[in-house]
Amino acid sequence: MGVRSLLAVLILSVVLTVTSFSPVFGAASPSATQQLEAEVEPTIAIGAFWANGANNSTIYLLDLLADNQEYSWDGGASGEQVKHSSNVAIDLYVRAAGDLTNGSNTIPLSNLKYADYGASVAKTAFTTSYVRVRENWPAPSQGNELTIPVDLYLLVPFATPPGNYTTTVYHAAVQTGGTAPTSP
Amino acid sequence: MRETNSGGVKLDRRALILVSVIILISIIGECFAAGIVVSPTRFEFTGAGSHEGKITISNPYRETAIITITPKRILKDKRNLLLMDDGVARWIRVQNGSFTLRPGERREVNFQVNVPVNYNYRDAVGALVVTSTSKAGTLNSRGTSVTLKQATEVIVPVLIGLPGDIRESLFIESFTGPSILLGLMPGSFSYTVKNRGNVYENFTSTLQVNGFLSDAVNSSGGVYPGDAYSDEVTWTPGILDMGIYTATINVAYGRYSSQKPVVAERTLIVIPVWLIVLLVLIVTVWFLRSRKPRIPRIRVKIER
Repeated sequence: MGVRSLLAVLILSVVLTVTSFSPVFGAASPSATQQLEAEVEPTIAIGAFWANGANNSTIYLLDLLADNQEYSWDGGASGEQVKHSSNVAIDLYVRAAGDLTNGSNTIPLSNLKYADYGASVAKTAFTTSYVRVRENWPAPSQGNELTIPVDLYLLVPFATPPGNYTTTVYHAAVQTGGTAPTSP
Repeated sequence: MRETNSGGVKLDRRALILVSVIILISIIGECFAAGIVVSPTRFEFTGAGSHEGKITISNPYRETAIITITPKRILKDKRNLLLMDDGVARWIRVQNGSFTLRPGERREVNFQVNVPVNYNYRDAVGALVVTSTSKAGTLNSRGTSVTLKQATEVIVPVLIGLPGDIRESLFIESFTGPSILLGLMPGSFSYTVKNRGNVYENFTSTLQVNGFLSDAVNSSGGVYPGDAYSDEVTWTPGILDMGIYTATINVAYGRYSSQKPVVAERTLIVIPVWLIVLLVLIVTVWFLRSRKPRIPRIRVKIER
């Protein structure tokens, strides 16, 4: 008798617990609707890639001759690219940190040049301040990105001492018209 | 003995295809994404006082990004964009503006802008410059090689007024030099250039000396906004130079757009050294001749 009672109580508890969690077993409730709003902010997303490598991938230019002849690397999948998947149109700027240096010797920054940017930008030497290379670059369609090639050129002067010369290349994006006030 | 049947071979092939597709999708997914992601893309505040804002930085990539957020002041023209450290840059305070962002991580960064009561509306656009870099690998290479590290930046304008113009303006404050120069003796010409613009200027100067003959001497320098730069150029007349000369200092500049060179002029006389030697010789000869002993006149009077 005792065991049977205990079992009955246990079964009843389980049923009650299940019904409390399962509206299918419970009494019917009135339906409810909820409004959901998701606000998407203007967003800028850009990246620079070398040879389809990682974001901000380092550019290694190896085995260069100090022969005063200009080297060139075409932009594209095997060279330099800039990608943009912002949801607003952007202006794209480029600069470099300064002369290429190995600590004790330098290659002038004016020997490092860029071109193309998908806008037929003429071959231009890097400077240490930002120069615009794309204006009003439109936002891609939803879920996509836009990619542009960047051609690079470098002249290593005669008698440049051997070594690894380094500088940093910066690409910057700002929303088109973003510096203009909306009210006078 | 391993049992093989056509059903088992088909299963292996399907599994291989499935794995390949998964790998392919993951590769495409990695190449598809962009670099740094920042939102919102601009702020606009009105009037003096304290204002607050918040930006969100996201790293949708598989590499850890090193993020720094720096307040700046924007000067721009049609082609150039300058990021300065003064003016409105000093009104902006960023909280915890330097950190690393792991793949898939987002972070919100707060900032405050304290706008003074009296400010120049025509030069009051700041910016939050969000810089993303990643660690560069090490390179072991003999010979000559070049490593170009890359960084991406998103410039988020913080508008309190209008963006400042890039103003380039140099003028020659003074130009001094000798009025008389002797041939083959160097003469020093000094000039001072003042920067009335709002950007640093590099310049090249040419001292053009024109007269019986012409010559030019080049120099160069750089001057910060509000500063003056003094330089000295030396010119030595040649053996044939003589007469009245005009010395013109021509300072060419224009870092962001071409500017009309600034010019100053002065006149000097060049006396050739051979003329001096000749004059000295003439004087010497005359002097020597004038010192010759006089033969006294002898008068002979014959009386009857």
